[in-house]
This record gives sequence, structure tokens and C-alpha cells, in this order.
Amino acid sequence: MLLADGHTTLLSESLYATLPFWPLLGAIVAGLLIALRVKSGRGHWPVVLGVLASAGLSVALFFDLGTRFGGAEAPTESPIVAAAEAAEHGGGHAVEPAAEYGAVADGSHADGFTHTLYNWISLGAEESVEQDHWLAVNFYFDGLAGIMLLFVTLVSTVIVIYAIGYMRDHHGEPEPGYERFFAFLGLFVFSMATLVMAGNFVLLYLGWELVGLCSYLLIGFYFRRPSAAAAAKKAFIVNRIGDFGFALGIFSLYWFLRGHVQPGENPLDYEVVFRYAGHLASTEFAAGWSQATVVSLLLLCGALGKSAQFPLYVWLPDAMEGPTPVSALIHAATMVTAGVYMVARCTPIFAASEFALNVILTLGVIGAMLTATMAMAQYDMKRILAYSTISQLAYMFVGLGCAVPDSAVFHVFTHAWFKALLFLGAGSVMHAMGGVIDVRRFSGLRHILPQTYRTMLIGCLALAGVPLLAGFWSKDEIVHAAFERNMLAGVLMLITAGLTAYYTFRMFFLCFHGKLRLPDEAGEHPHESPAVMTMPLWILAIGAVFAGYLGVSFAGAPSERFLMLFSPHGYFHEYLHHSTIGHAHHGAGGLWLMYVSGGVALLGILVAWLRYGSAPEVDPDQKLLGPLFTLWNRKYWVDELYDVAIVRPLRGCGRVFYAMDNYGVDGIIWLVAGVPRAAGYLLHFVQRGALQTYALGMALGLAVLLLLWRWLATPLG
Amino acid sequence: MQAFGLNLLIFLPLVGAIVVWALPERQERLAPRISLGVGAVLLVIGALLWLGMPVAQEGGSSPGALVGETRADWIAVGQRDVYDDGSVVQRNGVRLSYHVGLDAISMPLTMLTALLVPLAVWCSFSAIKRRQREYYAWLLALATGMFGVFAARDVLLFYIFFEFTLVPLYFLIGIWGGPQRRYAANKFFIYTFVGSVITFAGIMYLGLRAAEITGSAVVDFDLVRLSSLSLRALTLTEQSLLFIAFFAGFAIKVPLFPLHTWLPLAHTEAPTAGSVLLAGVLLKLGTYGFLRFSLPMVPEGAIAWAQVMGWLAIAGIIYGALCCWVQSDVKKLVAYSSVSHLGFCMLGMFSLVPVGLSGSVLYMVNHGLSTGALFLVVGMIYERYHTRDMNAIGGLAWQMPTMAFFFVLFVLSSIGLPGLNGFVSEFTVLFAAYNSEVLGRPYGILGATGILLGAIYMLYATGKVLFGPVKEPEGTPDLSAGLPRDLNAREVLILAPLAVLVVVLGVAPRVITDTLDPALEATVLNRVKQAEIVSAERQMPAIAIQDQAAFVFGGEVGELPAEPLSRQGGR
Amino acid sequence: MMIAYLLLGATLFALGVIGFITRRNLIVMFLCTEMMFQGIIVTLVTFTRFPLAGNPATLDGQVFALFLVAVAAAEAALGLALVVLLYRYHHTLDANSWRLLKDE
Repeated sequence: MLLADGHTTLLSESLYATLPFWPLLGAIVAGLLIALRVKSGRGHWPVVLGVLASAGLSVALFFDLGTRFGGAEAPTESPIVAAAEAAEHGGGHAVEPAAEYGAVADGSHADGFTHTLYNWISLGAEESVEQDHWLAVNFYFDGLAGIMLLFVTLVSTVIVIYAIGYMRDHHGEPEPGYERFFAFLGLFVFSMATLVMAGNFVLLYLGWELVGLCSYLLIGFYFRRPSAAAAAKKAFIVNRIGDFGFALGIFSLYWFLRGHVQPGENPLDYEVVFRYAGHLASTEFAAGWSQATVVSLLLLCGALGKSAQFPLYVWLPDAMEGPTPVSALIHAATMVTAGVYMVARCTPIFAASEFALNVILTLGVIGAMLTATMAMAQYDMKRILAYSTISQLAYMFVGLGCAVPDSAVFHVFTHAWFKALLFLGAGSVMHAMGGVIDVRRFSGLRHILPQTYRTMLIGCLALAGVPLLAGFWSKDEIVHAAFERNMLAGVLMLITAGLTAYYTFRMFFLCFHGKLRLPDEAGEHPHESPAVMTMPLWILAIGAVFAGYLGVSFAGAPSERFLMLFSPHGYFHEYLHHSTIGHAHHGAGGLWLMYVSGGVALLGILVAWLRYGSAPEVDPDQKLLGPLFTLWNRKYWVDELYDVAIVRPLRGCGRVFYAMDNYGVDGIIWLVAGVPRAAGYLLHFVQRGALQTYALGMALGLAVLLLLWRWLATPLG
Repeated sequence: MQAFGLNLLIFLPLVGAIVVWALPERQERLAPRISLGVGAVLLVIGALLWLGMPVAQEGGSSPGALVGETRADWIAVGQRDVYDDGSVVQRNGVRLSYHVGLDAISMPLTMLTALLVPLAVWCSFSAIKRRQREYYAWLLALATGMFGVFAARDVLLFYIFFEFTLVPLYFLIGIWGGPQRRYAANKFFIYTFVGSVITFAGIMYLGLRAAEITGSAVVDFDLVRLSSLSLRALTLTEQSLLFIAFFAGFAIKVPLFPLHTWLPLAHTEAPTAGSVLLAGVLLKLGTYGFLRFSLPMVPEGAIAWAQVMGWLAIAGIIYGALCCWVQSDVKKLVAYSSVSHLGFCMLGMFSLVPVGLSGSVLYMVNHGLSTGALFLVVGMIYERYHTRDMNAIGGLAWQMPTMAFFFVLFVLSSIGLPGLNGFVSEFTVLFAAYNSEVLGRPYGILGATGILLGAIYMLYATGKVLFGPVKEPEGTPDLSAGLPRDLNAREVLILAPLAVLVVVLGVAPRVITDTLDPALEATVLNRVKQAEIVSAERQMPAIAIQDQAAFVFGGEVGELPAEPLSRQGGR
Repeated sequence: MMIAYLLLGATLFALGVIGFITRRNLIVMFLCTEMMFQGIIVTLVTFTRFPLAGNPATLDGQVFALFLVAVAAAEAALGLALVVLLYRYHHTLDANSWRLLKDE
């Protein structure tokens, strides 16, 4: 169909706007099936179809946006960026991101467009009812949304299909709550799609909270296990801590902008906010803090919670209590990527605040190191993967902190494929082992799970950052940016990369190599998973190998194409330029880093092979590291620390308040009530019940009153 | 026709109550059915009135238009002139008229009442087996009081209905309540009564002053007249004192923080229907009173006290939430959550900005829906397990999946999950407090901790009741009353309308706000704006007034010359 | 002249009060209340006959007096019935035997 600005699109805009609602529809139908007590074992169909519909739409949207942007004049670098680059090449000075994003701030990159469904909440008439500020249900389409939707829906589809096989017992009978599970999955995809497509901050917040809800429902899927119920609660509440800051960030945005927007513009719409981002950057809030810094830091709180970053990462490892497809969904496609997405979406604001970027960078580096060390001392396969997720997300945050949000999003994209693959592989192992996931209790599984073994190998290689696989390209960009910005951060990132390779393969070898050892729960004849589970693994494996090439450019000088190490600024980045991210500044060169990083990854794998290649039953690291291993194994006692420092005092506060309520506040009320009570006690002696005494009292009282009246009236005449 | 409908809405329950009460003993089983029939009729009338509400159009019907307005002299003391054509004009004395009508502010609350009354009746079918005729009679009588309060356009009439609601609830709690029912009922009655007596004194004073100011020899208590007095005539001290007088009655009813101790007890001891109506409607009488009286009648007093109100609201939010977290009685937990939630409502109201007021009214409705529903669900659990101790039960989601669905839904609504009704009101209220000129950032930030604490205690309760291994007290579930293990069709039908509304109001809050916002603007906000001008006058030399007005509103106001003022100038 | 009528009314009323307070017999006490009524009626009629200076002559006092007669009759019917009932319970007319209003 033909758009107003002359572009043709494959499908109509309003059809794209239905994208998030198909999985919701599927979830509702699945819910109705539960309500009507239909137990056919085919309750997955509505959700699968719904998610498939979204996936189809998002693929179409991806290409549509691509042609739309491709057809347009290739975005030329704004003069400011060009000048800055020239200055950098000349003098080698770091570019001031605030200047760099000036181009975005004045709206020259408004490639996206908004599609409004309806007005949702009135924010009150500032001057008159006609010029009301409406919070609308509107969707914002640009490159970032296109890419996020693409992998969110595709990976989700694969995971949902996998779940059809996973959520059954050995006889192919569906588990209890089968339909419920799929309904929740549909809701999850709906929430994430809404989050990504939202065109204003409140709708973003809606998706943001809804994915939190879905994680709550799905992590607590086996709610009869106390640990699952606790983990679900923890996930929701830790997320809410972040959301608290996020909500304040939204309020602040409105506060800062409402006086400056034109009538009819809602200061919470993306289009408006990013148009005035320059204003946020240039206005000082308090000594040395610009408004942009305040907003960024508050919004960042939300991202830290949702993306499980230090110090709010504690919920993610516990989230393993959910069924494995849920873990895959949370870790790969939905939920945790939301934080990175949000920060990338708000690039014009974040980039305007040097301080906020430094905070992100610091937290990212701390988180990456911390969780990588924790992952080295775990035995639960899914937990190791969970810590690796946090660590990889920390990479993305480092990317964001280094003002290269496109690389961060690129890493989100590649990570989604191989992390989903790893989790589903772990799920396949778990499925065969009768629910056992402790790597100490089995080994040598390559003999009985050949498909899982091969796909897992691909996933592990990608995660470890072995050259030519997906993880390599995206991670290198981030490490490179870190080196550009801060040498220490770069070195730490490189070390973390080595650790990642090491712990990934420690897990891999313990699980698949060595002699065959099985737990009792696995039954007599453990077997490979059915095709409905292995096919998704292979699809994801293809993604894990090739997804990285989207970000690789075949253009450029031959020297940069040496050994097929392409310049990492390919189609993906071009595509992302047509979004609120705009042009990120990447340092030139850095080819040497690719060799180093590849070498580090291979070194890590080699060391892992030497120490764990035969899957020893006694953990050599535990002996070697001793107390350090315990420290890592117990996760630095952070959970316990939070419990003692925050949870217990708050709860104690509650107890004190409640006691106060019963004795303090109510006591005061009792005191007040005591006055009439005491007066009544004193007066009750008068009440003797004798009728004539009362009459005498009345007569005397009347007489006294009459005399009194007479006495008072006399002076007046 | 609408007038007849509204009067029917108010008095049909009373008639129903008398009929039910007068039933012969052997016809006792008819009592619930008749009551439910009355309730259904109320719901239909309420819906018809709702549909009959004039839709606000730009330049169209005035926002103050009343649905079903009826005006009749009731008690008139004084000299009257009778003219030849039969008309009567009162020359002096006191006049109390029966004047009712619904505007866009009272309409949502009336509708909420019309919905909750039949549900409260219906949910008592299996719970109440003792003295049924009296029980249903009191329940219906309570409905009359509640409808009357929202419909009253005469302040004394309001007060009469306001006090009238105490009596039925007193008996409902005192006769059909839990073990501590006598104490709870007495405390509830005396607590609220003491406060409202002071309010009554305030009303009297304001009525007399109004007659004095307008130079009228007739003292009447017309709502519009009292809330359109010239603010220059009422001194600031007067307004402050009147605000305190109103506060005494309404803050206890709300209940605001230090005056809330009657509430947990009354809620816990009351029968389910009593709790539902208490939380769903009766607490709103307090907030409604603030909105109807304190703000438009003594706006300067309200502005002067707004920050104190804000702090009390915040104290309530945090204090209530933390108290919830340590409860083991699930009903008490929900009761304390009301303290926290109504704190949000008051916070929004005293932000004194459009979005805050509208959010505050929405909060009243939403709290009525979600907390009322939670009390219903808790009642259903209690009927089966005869305990509300969360340490004694657990894992009920396995035993009662349908109940679990509703429980979780209403919990989510209560903690303000976006997409459900609670979010719209909670968000707008906090948003308003944060961006308000009167309150401001600290209020918004501290209030927002409520969204975190709310999640903590609600999920704590959900986890205890629904999740974990199945835990049931000895000899339960007690199904001797003919209840199935999970919810039966009646119970599902009770909860389903609430569930639907929870979603609908979350997705389309404009169902209410489209008519509500103009009405609030016309009746409340304009008064607040006038008050800002008057206080500026009092403080500053006349020349600076106009700037001051611009500073406060960033726009043209009331009687000032309508010249365009720059938006930036104000901020 | 008016003073005499008023004094008569006041005396009747005072006698009634003294009798009500001092006598113990319920019927006598009851009759004393009737005497108080008569005192009031006399006073009211007096004021009709001799209106105070500056007030128009109305029949209000006499109307009130008629009302009082009616009320007194109704009261007599009710009061005597109560006295009979009380006598049935305790077989005495002593007012001191009834002290149920005492706060124990």
C-alpha cells in the first residue's frame, strides 16, 4: 500500500499494528479452553498460531522497514559527527557524546513513524480540554523496533514449538497445566511485543510490567514447589524495585518537558521526548547534574531490574525454577533484553549524559566480572547459563555505556539465538535425565543425546566467542568500544571473555564428555528428545552460526577483509541508524583485537578441556581454589546480604508498625475515649434509679436555672 | 423518568428491606431471593441512569448537568408567603430540601454501589444461615443510605444519609460478625459517629455563614450554593477551621493514617458482604466527602492543609503496606491494604491538579472493584476452610484453580498492573502528586514506594494462600453446606462481572473520565483556582495579582482578563 | 387581677411538684402530675385573657389549653394502665420498689 510520503509497503500500517495482539488472542483462546475444561492435549495450537502470525508480520515489517529506509536517501553523517570524527582522527581526542547526538536531538533522524490506536489516559487539561495531554496506545516503528520484533517473535516461535514436546512426560501425555503454560507464553510474547512497539513511555511501562507479570506466572509455574513460588515472587519484586525508579523517570520526563512542548504534543511520546532531548541535556537540574542525567539514572533503575544487572541481578538465577522453555524465553528473546532495548531506545537522553554513561559502563563491568566468576563455581546447568546471561547482558550494558548502542543491540540479537539454543539444549538434557540438571550427577551424554550434543556444541562455541560464530562479532564490537573508551574496562572485558569460554566449556565437558554416567531419575533407557524438540534446536543453531553476519560488512578495504574478519559495520548497523539510536560512533581499526579475542576464547576452551575434558567426578577447581570457590559458589552471599540488610529491617518495621497500631495509635484513641468513660463512671453514682430523686433534681435544676437567668437578666433591665 | 428512576434507586432498597423484614418466619427462604431481585433491579436502574448521562461535548451540555434531579421541600421552618397561584415562598427560617441528582462525579460511585449491592447479597446466600430476614433487610437498608449519600444535593440530606449508613452496618457487624463482633461494631460506630458530629457542626456553621454572606434570611444547605460562596467573604481562618471540621468526619471514614484503627477490626469481624460494601463503597463516602465539601466549599482551607493531607496520605500508604506484610490473617491484610490504597486516593486528590483529581475518583471506583472482589474471594475461602490464617492454609491454587485465577487477577489489579484498572488510577495519582505545584517531588517519590510495597505484601499473601504445598486445616474443606471444592457457578458469576470491569477500566478508563474530567473542572478545580487568586490577593498588593495567577496556572483564570499568557512564564 | 390568676396557677403547679416528690404512692404521684397540668392550663388561659403589653390578642393560649386537656386525658389512660401493670408485678404501689434504672 502507498504511504503518504511516497513509500510503498508490503502490508498496511494498521495490519502491522495488530502484531502484538495475535499471541494475546491465542492466549485468550487457550484460557477459554481451560475455562471450558477442554483437555485435548492440543491446547498449544491457538498460541502457536498466534505467535506464528506475529512472527510472519514481523518478518514482513522487517523487510518493509528495510526497503523504506533503503529507498530513502542514505542517511548522511551529520556535520557534527563528521567534524568530530575528523577531530578524532587528527588529534585523537575522545568525542563528546553530547555533541555527537546533537543530530538526533534536533530530530533530523526522525525515521520512525507513530501509529496511534486510541487515546488511553488523560493526563489532565493543562489549559483547556481541547488541548488535553493524552496518553495514547500508539506504536512507534523504526529500525530498532523492526530488529527487536524480528528476533523476539522468531525466537519465541521456536521456543513455543519446542515447548510442545517439552511439556509432556515420557508417554507424550501433556503435563498438568499444559494449556495454562501456553496461555502464559502467548501473554509473554504479547507483552514483549507491546514493550518493543510502544510509542510512548507509559505504554513501554505497560509492556515492562506485563513481562514482569508473565515471568512471575511462568517462573512460578510449578507453584507447589515452595522454591518456585519464592523465585517467582522474588523476580516480580526485584523488578518492581527497578520499576519504582523507572516510574519516577517517566514522571520526571513529564516534569521537565511539559513546559516546553508545543500545544497538542504529549511530553511522554517518543517522538516528542527525543525531539526535546537536547533541551534536557542543556538544562541544569542541580549542581552539575543536567536533567538528562536525572532522567537517565532513574530510567536506568528500571533497566537494571529488568535486565538483571548488578545490583538487581539476584532474581535471574532463581528464575531457573520455571520450566526450561520459560528460561529460554526470559533469557533470550523477552524480558531481560527489555532493559537493553529501553536504554538503546532512549539513546538521545542517555548519550546526553556523560555521567549516566559512566555509571552504566561501571555497573556493566562489575556485573560482567562478578557473575562470570559466580558461573565458574556452579553445578546446576541452568544456573551456569543464567549467570552467563547476566554476564552477557553486562556486555551489552558496557556497549551502551560506551555509547555504541547499535553494538549492544547487535549483541542482544546474536545472544538471543545462541542463548535460546543453550537453554533448550539444557532442557533437552533435563528432559532425558528425568528432571536432573546437576552436572555432577551425569556425564558422557554425547552417546545417548547426539543431536543435543552437536547443537549444544554450536551454542557453547558461539557463547564462548569463537571466531566466525555469532557471538564473536557482536562481542568484539563491544570489547573494542570498551578499549576505545577506557583501557581498564577493555582489559576486564577481555578477561571476562576468557572466563566465559572457560565456564561454558567446563559445563559442556562435564555434561557431555567422559564416560557415560546417569542418575536414577533418568529411567532405564534415556533417549534423545522427539523431533518437535530437536528441530527447534537446529533452527536456533543455524541462527547461532549465521546471525552475526548480518552485522558484518563485505565492503571496505581489502586489508580489513583479511582472514574473513570483516569490518563489523554491516547491514544491521545501517538498519539501526534509522531509529532513535542514530549514528553511533565506532572507533576505527581494532583489527588486532579480533585476533586477541579469538585467541582468548580458544585459550579458555583449551584450559577447560585440560581440566574437565574427561568429566572428572571430583571437581579440580574446587580443590584448586578452595575458599574462593565457596565464595563464588555461594554467589558472594549477596542474597543473604540483601536479606539481612533490606528485607528483614523492612519486615521488622512492619512488625513495629503493627504493634504500634494495636497499642500506640489505638492507645491514644483509647485515651481519648477514656475521658467520657471516666466522666460516666463518676456520674453513675447519681443514678440511683429512684424516680422521685430524679424529679427533685429536675425541680431544683429548673429553679437554679430560673434564678440564674433572673440574675443574669437583671443588669440588662 | 430519570427522576423517578433515581428515587426508585434510593428508596426501592428500603421498601425491599421492609418487605423482607416483614416476611413470615416460614417464608424465610424467600428473603435472599427477594433481596437479590431488588439488587438486580437496582443494577438495571443504575445502568439506565448511566446511559442517560449527558455526554460532554465541546460547547455542548454543561458539565454540571444532573441526571434524575428531584427537588422537594422537606422540612421548612419559618414564615412563608402563599400566593394565589399556589406557589409558596419562604421568607425566613431554615429550609431543608429533599434534593437529589447525579452528576458525573457521583455517577461512577453510584454505579459501583449498584453493582456491589447485588453481589454482596448474592455472596451471602451460602454464608448466612442465621436470622436471614433481618440480615437481608439491613443489607438493603444500607443500600438506601449509600445511594442517598451519592445522590444528595443538599448538604444536610447528605449528612442524614451519611449517618444513616452507620446503623445497618452496625447491626450487620454486631450480629453476623466474627468472634469480636460486638467490640468491632461499637468501635466502628462510635469512632465514625464522633467524627461526623464535628462535621455536622461545620455544616451548620457554613450554612449560617452562607445565609449571612448572601444576605438571605433563609438558611438552607444547598450544595451548589454552599460551594459557590464568595471566597473573599470567608476568612482564611474560618476556612481552615471548617476544613478541620470536615476532616474530622471524613478522614475517619476514609480512613486517613492515624485515624484508621477502627478499620482493620471492623473489616475482619464483618461478614463478607459487610466487608465488601464497607471497603467498596462506605470508605468512599469519606473521600467523596472531601471531594464534595472540603475542596469546593473551603478551597483555601484545603490548599492550606493540602501538604499535611499529603503527608498523612503518604504515612498511610507506607504504614498500611508495612502492616499488611506482617499479617497472618488474610482478611486483615486486605483491610490494611485499604489504608494504603486510600492513601493513594487522598494523595491524588490533594495534589489539586486535574489529573490527580480524576485519578483519585478513578481510584475510588477501582479500589471498590478490586478490594471488594478480594474480600469476596477471601470470603469464599473462609466458607470452605473456616480460617483466614495464612499459616494454616496453602497451595490452594491446586485445589481451587478457578478461585486462584480470580484471586491473582484481583491481586494484580490491586497492585496496579498496567492493563488493569488499578494502574490507571495509581499511575495518574502518583504522576499528579509528583508534578503538582501544591505537593511535589518528595510526595511523588515517597508515594511511589507504595507500588513496590504493594507488590511485596500482595504477593506475599498470594504466595502463602495459593502457592506452595497444599495445606489444609483438619477436617477441611468443609463442603457440608453444599459447596464444591472449587468455586461453583454462583460464585463465578459473582466474580466475573468484577473481573470484566477490572480489565475494561484498565484498557478504557475513558468510560469514566470523559464525563468526569469536565465535571471536576467545573465543580472543584475552578473553585481551587479562585482560591488561589483570593489568597494571592490577601498576600500581595493588587497589582501583582495577575502575575500570581499566571504563575500558578500558566493560563487564564476566572474573572481575569483573558489575555494569552506564556506557557514558559509559569514554570 | 392577672397576678392572682397567675399565682393560682403557680400554686397549683408547686403543690403538684411537692406532692410528686414527697408522696410514695404511685397513684397519688400520678394525680400530682395532673395537678401540675392544671396549673399550667390556668396560666395559659390567663395569658389569653390578659395579653402582655404590645402583643396582639390571640387565642393561642386557649388552644394550647385544649391541647393540654387532650394530652392529659391520653396520658391518664396510658399512665393508669402502666400503674396497674406495675402493681401486678410487685403487688405494691410504693414507688421505691422500682429501681430498675439504677446503674449497678
